[in-house]
Amino acid sequence: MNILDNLKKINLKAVCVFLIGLALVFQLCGMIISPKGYSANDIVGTTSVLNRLKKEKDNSFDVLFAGDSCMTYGISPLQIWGDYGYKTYNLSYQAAKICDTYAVIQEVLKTQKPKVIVLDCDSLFLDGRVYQTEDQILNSVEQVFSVFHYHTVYKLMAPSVSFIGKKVYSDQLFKGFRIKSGTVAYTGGKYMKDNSDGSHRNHDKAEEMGTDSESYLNAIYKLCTDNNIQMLLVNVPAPNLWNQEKHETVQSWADQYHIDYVDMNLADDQIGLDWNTDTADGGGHLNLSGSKKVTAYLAKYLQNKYSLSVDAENEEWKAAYNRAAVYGEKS
Amino acid sequence: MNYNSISFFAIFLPLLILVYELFPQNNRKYVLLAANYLFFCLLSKFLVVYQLAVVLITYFVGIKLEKIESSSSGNDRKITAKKKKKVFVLGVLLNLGILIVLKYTNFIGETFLRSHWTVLNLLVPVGISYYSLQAVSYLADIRAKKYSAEHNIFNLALYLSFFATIMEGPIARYNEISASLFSGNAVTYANLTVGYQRILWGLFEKVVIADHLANGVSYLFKQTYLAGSLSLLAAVLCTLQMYMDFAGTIDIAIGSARIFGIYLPENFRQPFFAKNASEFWRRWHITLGTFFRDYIFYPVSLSRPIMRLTKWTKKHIGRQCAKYIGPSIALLFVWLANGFWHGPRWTYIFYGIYYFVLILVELFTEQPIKNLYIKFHINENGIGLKIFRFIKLFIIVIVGEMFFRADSFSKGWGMLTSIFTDFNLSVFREQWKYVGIGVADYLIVFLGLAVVLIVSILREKNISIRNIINKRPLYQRWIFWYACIMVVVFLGAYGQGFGAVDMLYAGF
Repeated sequence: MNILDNLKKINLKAVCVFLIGLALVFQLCGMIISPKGYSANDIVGTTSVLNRLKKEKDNSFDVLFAGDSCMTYGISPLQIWGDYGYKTYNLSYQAAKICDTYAVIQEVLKTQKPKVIVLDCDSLFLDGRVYQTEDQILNSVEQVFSVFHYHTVYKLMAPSVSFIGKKVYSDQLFKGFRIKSGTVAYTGGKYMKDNSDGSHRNHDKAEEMGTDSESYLNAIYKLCTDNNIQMLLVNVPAPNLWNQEKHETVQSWADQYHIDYVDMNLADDQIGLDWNTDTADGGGHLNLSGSKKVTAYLAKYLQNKYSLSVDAENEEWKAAYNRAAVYGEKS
Repeated sequence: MNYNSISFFAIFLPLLILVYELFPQNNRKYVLLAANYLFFCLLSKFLVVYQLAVVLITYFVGIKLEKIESSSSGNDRKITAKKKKKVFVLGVLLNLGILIVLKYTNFIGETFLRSHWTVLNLLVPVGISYYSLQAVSYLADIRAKKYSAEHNIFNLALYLSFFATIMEGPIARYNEISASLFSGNAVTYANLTVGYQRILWGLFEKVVIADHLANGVSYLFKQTYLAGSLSLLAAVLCTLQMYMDFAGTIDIAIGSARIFGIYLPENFRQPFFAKNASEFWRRWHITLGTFFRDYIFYPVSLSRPIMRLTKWTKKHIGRQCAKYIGPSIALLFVWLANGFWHGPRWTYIFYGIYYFVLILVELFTEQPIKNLYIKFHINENGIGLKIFRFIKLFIIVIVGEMFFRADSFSKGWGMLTSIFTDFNLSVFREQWKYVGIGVADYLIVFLGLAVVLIVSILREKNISIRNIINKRPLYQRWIFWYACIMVVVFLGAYGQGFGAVDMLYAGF
């Protein structure tokens, strides 16, 4: 009787109706803002890339580059086109998780039919799950009410242009590539073992991939094979982010699936990287000077390895190349 | 589990309400007590022993003070007072001793022993600066016979460990909250709704405004050098973050207590509408200010040495000087204590001295300025003067917060001087969006502050928004509250892309 009286004081009926109504509002808003057809960890990052790509013509790229900021600041599609004439696009973005890279590739393949997908492996060693906030309760709530997970969509409405001097440029201009300005030397010395004779291969010392990352890597592989696309694993050189143990892990996976793997951390001499001048932040990311060298190296590899269509007289790309060259010089 | 985490307001509080309601009225305070210690243990784990020690010390010293008083006869007042003073000082030393050892040992060692000192890795329990002050206020009031000592140790433990005040206050006095805290009154629909509405407002201030600024403020204060324009930006942003973080957390605390019919004292009253620095501190962190007023300012002002000094000054220097000497010395103690209370850093002590000097200047210039207004026929309540006062106060506050937030005095000084020597506006134009805060964050903060400003103006005019809303039909009220909840859900800085931001004042 006492308890019933107490519950009457709380007006439990009204509280329950209000909460049910609130749950419905959550669900409705979640349905409106959730991406259609895929799940993403970073709705802002994935949607930005996909929106950018919508402005490009369908079936217009032979090679797509995917990954995180190492790739964003490392590989320039316009430089590749200028040197070799085949068209590529850089789908990567800063702090992209492998689950988001998977979502982006999945969506992009609805409009593009590339011959090769080049995946940077740096993000494989981060948590690969879609729901990965520090608060486990929040993670669970996000899975039930997606509005809590995708609530940052408002950021897409804010202007997201970058400035170089007074000129405005966007990722669109560089076909997904971004310039990281500044030079802070990497002084840590040699960070990869000399593995040229295979004597250092030691799978026991391999570093584990992040949670769920391997399953997303497998899913990307399946997506590529299902769509008859060649998959290439790479690493843009980054002394602060990469090591021999990570290399071993990726190499094992690549061997298992017979996938080509080009770890450019092992080829910095061949690429001609000078860690005093070619990194923007002491070994985390390449600056423009470093990216030019790495792009040239990878472009040549792709040209030799795959049969890619040359479209060197494309007027639209010519204009983009010229515009980008102007801003590139200024940066 | 922070107050702004979903676990707190969507799991901890509802479960506590449920269990609380299942118990008969006279046992509900034990439910609250158990919840307090569960909450404390989730935050500070085994460090709960320090909190228990404070409860035990305060309990026994309080009983002892009461016994001394009750056993005294009318003739030996002086002896009784001396005995009580000794016991009280012991109680304060023991309580503050725990605080000082845990929080200030390294600071004292590094200051006096310098290179000979080995830094100790002492873990500090959450809320120690708050419940220690509550314990001191309780003992001081027992000594002053404001109320009798609590004989039920569980009641005292409940007061000193209350989950809503344990992290950031407000520093509630025992007589202010004991009746409602121990009553075990049932949760009512009115208290439940008002409590959660207050929590929602607190979340708006904390998660929507303050947390959007957190990244940028950390980034700016980590830089070894900032151009003057960015230093100014850092000072403004850190002031806004501090205000919204602290005020938001206090609103969540007050709302959480209100659900159980417990009325906590207000800690903020539109501080930026103050006329000057001294009024600002009567509107900002009010419960700390009143604590220092009642337990430091008055006792020091009325202490025998100060009275003697005042007398001596009056005789040898003059009446005017004597009028200020006592309050000035008492103020110095208050502001040193304020600085030290915030933590073991010279920047906090500078912060205290900074306000001491400003308030002293205000004290001395109050009358001459009033005379000027009269002489030049300036309307004290005119809009022009109000705007001038607001700008002056805002500058005072942001300079104080700049030093408060800086790692060292030299860092704060460097930032301040750069505003005058290197105010490079082009650096600002190029970098304002790349300091860890994006355009969207600025927009949200700006809109959020506009809402806070409107609410503050209405509060200042004693207009209750809740009353206005409550007069509307039910469906309109619900639509309004759903909309408010969705604003926090959509615009809150939580989840993917945001790190969890701790409550700033919980660190003090």
